[in-house]
Amino acid sequence: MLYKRFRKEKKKGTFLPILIPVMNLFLLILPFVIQNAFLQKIASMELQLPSVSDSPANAFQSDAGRDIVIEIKREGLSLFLGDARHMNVDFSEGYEQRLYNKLLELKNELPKKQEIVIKIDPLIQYEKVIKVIDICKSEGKLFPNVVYYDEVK
Amino acid sequence: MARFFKKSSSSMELNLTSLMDMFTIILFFFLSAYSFEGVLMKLVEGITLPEARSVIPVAEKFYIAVGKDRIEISGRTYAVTGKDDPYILRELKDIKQKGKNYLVIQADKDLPFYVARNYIRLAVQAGFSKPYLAVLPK
Repeated sequence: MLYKRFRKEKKKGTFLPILIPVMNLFLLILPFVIQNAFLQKIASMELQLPSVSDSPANAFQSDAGRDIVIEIKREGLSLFLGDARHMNVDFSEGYEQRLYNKLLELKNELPKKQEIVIKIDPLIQYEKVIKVIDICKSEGKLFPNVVYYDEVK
Repeated sequence: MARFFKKSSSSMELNLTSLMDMFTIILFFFLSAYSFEGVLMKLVEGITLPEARSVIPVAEKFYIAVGKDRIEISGRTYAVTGKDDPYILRELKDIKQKGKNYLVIQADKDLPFYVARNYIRLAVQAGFSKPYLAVLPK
């Protein structure tokens, strides 16, 4: 009788220790799955709009005629300094680096300049627009104030 | 009889080890989900955000999500066709009237820009002076 009781207890003990680590493992995996599924950390990117102080009437306050403008079109980018076209960049491989190098040159030329104006073709892919804005800002190293020029036709 | 009671009381023992394990896991989960700056924003299902390096933390929870087939503003869904634009504008104005001047635009990376532009315009019309575009940090 005494032997039977001990044998029963031994059986219970062998079952539970196997189950507990498995349950722990599932509990460990579950939060990571939930986190990756729903709680991706979203950040934001500021896009400025032209203000009254940027109007031609107040242009004398800043570098008049020295505005940097990027036109994003389906075929590529056009970079203007004032009224003059500075360069064209097509969307071929490595365009990000070429644009960055050109903007770095302009930044060295105009170190106090903080704004860059972008004109965007409505049919261009949104991801490309974000990429160009990202390069313009370059984590605050180049032109942190990207001003979106909205053309209403 | 006494033996019987003794047996049942021993089966009521609480396994502290697994309980502690569970609490440790929950603790790590909350610690990793906790953001020290900004707020955590819900990523709307079906929207793939573009990635960027030059980012700032999200300051407030108000968003307008522009997907391929629907628009969502803080949990409410609208049609993307443009027929719901007056309602969207009203909803954005309501948010603005709460004294908020921060709206994040979550737009799918594959959309043509004019779709996102439409809602940037609506946000500006509602009184938001700066649109903030939602991105995933690289």
